[in-house]
Amino acid sequence: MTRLGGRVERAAPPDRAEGAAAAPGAGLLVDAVSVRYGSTLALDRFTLEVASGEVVAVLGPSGSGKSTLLRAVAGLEPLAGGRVLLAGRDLSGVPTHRRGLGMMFQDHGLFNHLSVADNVAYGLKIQGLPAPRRRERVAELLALVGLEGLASRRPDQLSGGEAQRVALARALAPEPGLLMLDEPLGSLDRALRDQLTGELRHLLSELGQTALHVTHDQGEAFALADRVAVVDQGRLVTVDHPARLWADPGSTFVARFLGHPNIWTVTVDGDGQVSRAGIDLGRVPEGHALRSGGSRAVEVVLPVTAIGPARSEGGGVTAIVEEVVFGRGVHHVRATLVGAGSTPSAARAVEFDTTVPLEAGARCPLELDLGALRALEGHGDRPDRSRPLDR
Amino acid sequence: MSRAGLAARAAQATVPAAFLAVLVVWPLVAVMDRSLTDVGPGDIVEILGRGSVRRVLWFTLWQAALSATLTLALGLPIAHVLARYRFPGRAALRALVIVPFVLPTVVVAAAIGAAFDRLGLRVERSLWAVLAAHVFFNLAVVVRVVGGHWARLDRRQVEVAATLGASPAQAWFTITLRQLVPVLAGSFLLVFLFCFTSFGVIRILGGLRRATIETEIYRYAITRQEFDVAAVLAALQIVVVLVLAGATARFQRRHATVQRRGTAPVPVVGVARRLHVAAVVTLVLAVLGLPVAVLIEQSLRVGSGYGLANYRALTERVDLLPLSAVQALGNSLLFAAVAGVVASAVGVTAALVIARGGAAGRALETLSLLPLGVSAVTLGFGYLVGLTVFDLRRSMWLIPAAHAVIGLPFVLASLVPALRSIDPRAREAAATLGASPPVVRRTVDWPLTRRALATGAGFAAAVSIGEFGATSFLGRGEESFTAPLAAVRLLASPGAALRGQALALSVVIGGVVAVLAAAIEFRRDPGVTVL
Repeated sequence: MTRLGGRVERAAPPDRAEGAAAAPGAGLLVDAVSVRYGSTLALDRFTLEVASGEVVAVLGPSGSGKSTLLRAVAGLEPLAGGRVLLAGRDLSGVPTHRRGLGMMFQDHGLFNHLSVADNVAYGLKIQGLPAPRRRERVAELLALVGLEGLASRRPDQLSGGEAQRVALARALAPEPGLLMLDEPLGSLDRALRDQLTGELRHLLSELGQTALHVTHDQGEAFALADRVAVVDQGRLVTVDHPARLWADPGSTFVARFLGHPNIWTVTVDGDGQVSRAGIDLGRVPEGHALRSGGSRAVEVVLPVTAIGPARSEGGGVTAIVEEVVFGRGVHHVRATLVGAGSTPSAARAVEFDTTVPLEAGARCPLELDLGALRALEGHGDRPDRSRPLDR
Repeated sequence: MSRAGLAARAAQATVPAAFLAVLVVWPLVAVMDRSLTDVGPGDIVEILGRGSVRRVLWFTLWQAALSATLTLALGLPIAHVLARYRFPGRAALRALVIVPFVLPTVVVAAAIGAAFDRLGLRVERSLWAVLAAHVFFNLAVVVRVVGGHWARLDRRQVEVAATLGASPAQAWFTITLRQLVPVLAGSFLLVFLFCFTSFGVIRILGGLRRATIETEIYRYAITRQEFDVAAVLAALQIVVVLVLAGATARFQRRHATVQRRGTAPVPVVGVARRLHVAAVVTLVLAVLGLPVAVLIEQSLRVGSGYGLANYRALTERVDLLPLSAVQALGNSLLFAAVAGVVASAVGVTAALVIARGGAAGRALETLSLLPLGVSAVTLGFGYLVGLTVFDLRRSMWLIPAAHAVIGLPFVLASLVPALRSIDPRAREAAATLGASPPVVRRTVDWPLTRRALATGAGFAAAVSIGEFGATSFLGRGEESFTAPLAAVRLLASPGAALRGQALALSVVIGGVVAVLAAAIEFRRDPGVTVL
């Protein structure tokens, strides 16, 4: 038993999750799960593993099947194929209420007819925890989410952030083997969302809580998760640590979905010389993956962080500034590379951030870190349904 | 607000206020006055202490409680299926459930009586026939009110409960039922109120032994001409109804929970669910369809075969009636038209005042909803006691006026929400574009509310055609005898020939109302619901 932040004690694994006392380290395994809604396949042989104590975010556009994944794991949707294992136990045929899960919905789903304390106590009551112990635990949980004074409030007297905190406390109360978060902060305004994201991350790691988090907001996913899984049309596209995923999205779909603006078609020759629309961009460093494979056209992504104004003229690449938008402390610049006049400007667009204010129309020499260049796979059969980014 | 504008508003409020003062407040005050000053406390205690009166009070109470309980028990599974499942014919079933509520009591009572006869059950003095008619009539209230609420419950709360470890049964009891309790209690009180003031059903099906406060008011006032006893009973009725209505409103205000989102009905999957839905659909068809089917079948019965003889006979006057049934129906239609027009005219002025809100609006709203709770019988008796000036009570035009009063709540229920839903910015935009207030009213308010007004007027007319309670006190001679009065008189008389005519007349009345209701439903603004 560990003391967590001096505030809450994690008890032994709850016995309501039948046979949950399995091998330590065994978290969730979603094994080739398919879910069918009528004739459409909402989940298509979806496989994902969440280690014990790990937080995995499932990121995808709306309608990609990410909420269906949660419902399938929760046992709220019948599986058309595959199986779900929690702590090594096959959950097939186990009804939702015996799975030992916690779930937090976007608009919190609080029981309007119960007070805050009774909402939190609901799962404990079902477990048959005696009243004095229950009250203690409710007080602990409300303290944990910072709502000590609100025990007797009704849900409709709470602010959006408070309601989410109550929903979290309620989901955590029965000490679920897996906490599932369905767009938990989606209905809140940005400042509150950022604040709660921080609190939630802190809390989950403090508790060592295994969690599956579904969202369409990549900021939220990156901030909360140990690993991020990108889903599209019911299939897992990729799963990786946030920073690695950002630096190397792997496919055009993921790169666009993550909001990378610089997705280019470039030509690489055998020496690693990169050119775009006839403009020479420089050479990729020794040992870079793009060096192997001979001369060819390839789709790549260059993160905005790998582009910036050069300190001195003559670096080779120059751009004309088209538009500058200020936000969150940096100037976001949309520019066009200067080069062979006949190519359309869209094929020469480049975007980057800078702290140096630039004027529209100015010439700006650029420094590109071509070591950050990563090749992308094509869309394949996957139509691009992410937000339009080519403005 | 200019001085002229204020004066116009005051004038606007005066019309409905005066109408309601003469036709609602004054008669009720007259009843109370009669029982309190003319009869006196000692006699009141003596009258209420009589064994016969106490038996009536007791029966009124328990039959209403039992009716409401049965209605709720039968209505719940129907409400559940309609709220939760999507299946072919669901819309038709929803519509069918509403039909009995718009049917006149006379028709309902005749249908239930015919069904009991056909099934070989003893109708006369049959408690079960009364209960069946009350259930038939009020099922719509439970299904609409409870079902509407049920459909708005957030299904995911049950799912959350499941993730927290609640079994389906536990989730149902701790979440679904718990959230339905206020609306269950509310609809129970409402049905109780309707059955407590039930008149036509008891008169027709209750026989001689089954009497409620309502039928006793009628018997003492009309048959025995003992106005004092009738006044005491009517005063008691007024007090009980006001207390009940107040309690219902309070209870619903206090327990109103805002449901943020509903859940779309789900398709019926699996054998168990299919059987469940099929059983409920069958139940609805049996309970609601059978009596109507039997009524029509029996009305066509001639000797041992079938024919239209009963319908043809409606054109001839029988000794029992002051005029032929068809002429009575003519009176009914005339009164319905007048009542519809009067209710609309008063309704428009009242709705404008009410929609503006404020103390005057709220007072007028309460006043105009009074006839919905206070029974028509009490109102009719109030006219006999109160409207002695110029002998108003003998005027045939008092009937459509009374019907307009009873129909007014329906006009307002349709019109006020429509007026309130008009975005004030639409009016402001029209004004900035150069429209004067009358032009705004004609070009903005009127197009947006005329369908709601038509709906309300149609309802008022439908209510008028079937109205029986107040009319029993007012309809006398050839000019003022209505079709429901004729049907009841025919039903009460022995003899197969007259019974056949009574059933035929009931079918005709029901048919007219059904056509009217269908027209309303068809033309109705989808956003407007009266029930």
